[in-house]
Amino acid sequence: MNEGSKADVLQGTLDLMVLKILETMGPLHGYGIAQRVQQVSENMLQLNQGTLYPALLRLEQRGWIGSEWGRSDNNRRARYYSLTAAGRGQLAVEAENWERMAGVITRLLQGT
Amino acid sequence: MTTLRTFLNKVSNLWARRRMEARMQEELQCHLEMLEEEARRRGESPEEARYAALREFGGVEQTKEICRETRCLSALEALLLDIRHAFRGMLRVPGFTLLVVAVLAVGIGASTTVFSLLNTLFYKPLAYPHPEQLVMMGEAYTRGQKEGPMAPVRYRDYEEWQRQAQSFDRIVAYRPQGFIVNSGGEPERVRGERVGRGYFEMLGVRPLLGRGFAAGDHLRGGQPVVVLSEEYWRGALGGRADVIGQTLRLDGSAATIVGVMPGRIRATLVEGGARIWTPLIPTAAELAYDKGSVSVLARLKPGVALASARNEMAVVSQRLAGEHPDPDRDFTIRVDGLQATLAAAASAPVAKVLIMAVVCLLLISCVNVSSLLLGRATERSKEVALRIAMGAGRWRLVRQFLAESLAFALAGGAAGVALAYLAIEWCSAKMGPLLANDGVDRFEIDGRVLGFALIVSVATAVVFGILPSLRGSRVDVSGTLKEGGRGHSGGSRRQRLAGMLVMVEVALSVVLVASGGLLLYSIRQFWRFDWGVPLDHRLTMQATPIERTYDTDGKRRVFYSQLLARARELPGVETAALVNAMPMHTGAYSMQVKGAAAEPAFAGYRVVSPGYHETAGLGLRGGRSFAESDTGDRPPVAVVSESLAAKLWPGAEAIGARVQVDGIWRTVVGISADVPQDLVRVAKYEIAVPYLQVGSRSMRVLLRVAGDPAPAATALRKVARALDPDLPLGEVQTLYAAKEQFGAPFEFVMGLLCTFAVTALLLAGAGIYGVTSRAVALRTREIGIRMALGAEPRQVLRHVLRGGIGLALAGTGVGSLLALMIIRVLVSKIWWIEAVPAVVWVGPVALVMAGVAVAAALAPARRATSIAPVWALRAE
Repeated sequence: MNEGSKADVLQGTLDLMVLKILETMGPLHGYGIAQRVQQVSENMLQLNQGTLYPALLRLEQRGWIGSEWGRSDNNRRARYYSLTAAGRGQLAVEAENWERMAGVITRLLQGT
Repeated sequence: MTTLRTFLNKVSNLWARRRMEARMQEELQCHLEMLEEEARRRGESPEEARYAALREFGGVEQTKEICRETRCLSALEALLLDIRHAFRGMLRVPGFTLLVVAVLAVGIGASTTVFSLLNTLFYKPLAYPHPEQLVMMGEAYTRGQKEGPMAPVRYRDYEEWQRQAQSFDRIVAYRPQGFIVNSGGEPERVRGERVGRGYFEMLGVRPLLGRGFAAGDHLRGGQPVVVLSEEYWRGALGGRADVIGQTLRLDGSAATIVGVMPGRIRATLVEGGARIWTPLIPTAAELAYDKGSVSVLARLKPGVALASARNEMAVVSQRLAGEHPDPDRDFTIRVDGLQATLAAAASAPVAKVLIMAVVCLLLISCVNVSSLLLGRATERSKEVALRIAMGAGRWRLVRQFLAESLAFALAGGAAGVALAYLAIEWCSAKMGPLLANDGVDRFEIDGRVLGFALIVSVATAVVFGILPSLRGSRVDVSGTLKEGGRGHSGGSRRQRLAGMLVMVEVALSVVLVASGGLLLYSIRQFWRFDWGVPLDHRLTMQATPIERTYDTDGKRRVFYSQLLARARELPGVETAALVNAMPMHTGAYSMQVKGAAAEPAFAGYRVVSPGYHETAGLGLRGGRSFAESDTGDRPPVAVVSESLAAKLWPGAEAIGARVQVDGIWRTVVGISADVPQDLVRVAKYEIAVPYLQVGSRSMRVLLRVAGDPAPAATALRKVARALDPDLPLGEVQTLYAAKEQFGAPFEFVMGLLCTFAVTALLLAGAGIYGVTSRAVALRTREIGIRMALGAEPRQVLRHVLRGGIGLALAGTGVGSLLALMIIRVLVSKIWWIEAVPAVVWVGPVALVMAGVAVAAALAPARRATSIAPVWALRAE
């Protein structure tokens, strides 16, 4: 594996990723979310999976996600996170922000 | 909205800490197991799978720590945890803990003690409902006079105030007076007050027995009544419940007891507080408008501010000035908060000196503890490095160090309060009788004092803890762990810090010891003050005849002349005289005196008989004393003390000059030696006037005897009793005893100060020794290197010592400058210190401190230079 080709997760983008993953995949435990991040990024992101938990905690404190105990596929007790109504709204806002930002950066890099 | 929600969430998490911790533990564990499972599915061995899982996850403990911080009001929760942790840690190093706690207990204990003294005397709220509404009112002596004594108020003005002023609930006049009371035994002189209508109601005091004064009691020609204080009732009447309705003889006639008031009533500055009260029914002299006669207390209406009451009284005073034009009089009416007036006495120089002393002592103990903790922080660098490796942030560490400081400070504070209890006990025992004069039974530690101790403890924790915590939390992780926790050769920054502590400590102790020493010197000077003749050969006795019998100045003069003539003939008596107040006691006898100088002075006012200066042992510096011929029909004369003359007629001849006192212009006929007055407030000023020219109700006999004073004392009592069987006889006291009584509070304060100073010296010496020797010991390796490179032991020694001495000298310099400034202020406030060369005091202290620092540097430096370089390099 070439270490140099992996990018650190951008500050603040982890929240957006988590919210989006929960929107598309439905309730998911921490491991599932981490797997999904790796899968989507096709292993191009350098994610210490531990850093996911403080982010989950933060989102939960803001009321954007909720959590409850559930059973995993192989019958293991796991904490499942799901998007709340407020989280759905927040996702829309953040996604729009992101697109706007990405647009700016792209235009900047293309030099127009 | 979100922030509030987050906050509430965090607060609730605080309580659910254990549950949250378990949840996090389980969640992370689950995640790791899932990772592990996946790795095993990829075909890795169980062990490899576990490592792979950990790798992918990142630091488990770090994650937990970040989660904890995200989850909680981390500061608060962590602080509680940290303090608990710190207390546990303290028990692990009992010796060190004991040392730190003891040092802190000294500093906190001393400041708590001083605060509790000041609190009892000055700050404690008066025990009346809404004490903030109570005010004192009086006329200003001079235009714009805002503090200090108020002039007495003319009774008719007081009635005008009552009529015109709207800001007050009640305005009540009172007049302190000594009554002669006979409740069945010997006639006795009792301090009391004649009080206007509604006095007790204004204060908000309810009678313990019976009633206060009714409206009818204040009518002229009514039945005489008296109200007793609880103290007098218990003391003189045995606390009998049936006293209401009984009579006692008051100034020679019967008065009915109508009530008993609870506790001590401390509303006025009457010395010792009033013990009995009678209704104030103004006499003809008091109703005359020529001069003021009463003092005035008032209660503001609820919601009325002091400032608006003042504004209103300014209008009233202008109106009065219009009605009674008088160029010599300033009509400004002062309205001062009663509590504030009582508390203002706390700004007396003595209180300031005490406060300064304890602050110095507290700072010295802080510096000591700070350096102890700094040393410990060095030893703990391995532990700290480990914590950082485990994911603790810098602030987390600083917080933990501060929590430890706080734990130490709280323990030290508790020990300090215990110490203060002992000290207060001792102070009360020592000062008990004197305290009665301030209307206080004993010093006490109340809630305010405990609160103060807590605040001081927390403040000291920050002061002494901040440096070690900033220092201790900065550790080079991999270096320290690799070194196996051995300290590196003490960076130059750490040395500079230790050096600064040494400087601060030296400076503080120089300040405290020098000013403490100066005061010690001053009290020695007080006792050695030259009175010319032995004090134990001078006797005084109060002799005030009943006013009703001796109701004119003429009758009193006859009585006193007879008493004086008989006293002069007593065996063993050399000279005798009369005086209105004891030489070392001014108190209420201060008067405003005007001379040629624009500014008037306040001087002790003595009404005396011929022979006073000779009998008191006050030499004449010029002119004459009074003669039998200085009577009422001759020109009014006065004798002033030397320094009063210099103040009122700077650079000019005082004899023959005109001086105004108590409203009368007099000619100065003599200048007397200075006499001690009030020790700290007024310096040396005294003015004497002949008793044959003014009326004085109450006089003392002053005798100078040749041999044993005891027979003369007995004879004096006998003569006085023979002259008037109703005369209350005070105790016959030698001036020496009076001086002891007078000096006692000062001696007490000085004793306290000296204790502080000696403690500070010990603490500072130990602290300087510790810091310096540690600093040198830290350089053992450096010394080894120098030696290995060929330095001579002597050279190295000189190098090390130069640093130590330099620090001590720098500290001494700063301290001496401060001490000189403080000493200059002290000398100007305390009359009997004659410009002591401050160098005398600052010098030795500075030398001692420098010596301690050198000795402290010498021992470890010797050790370092005497061992082989190789060992020095391996040391630590």
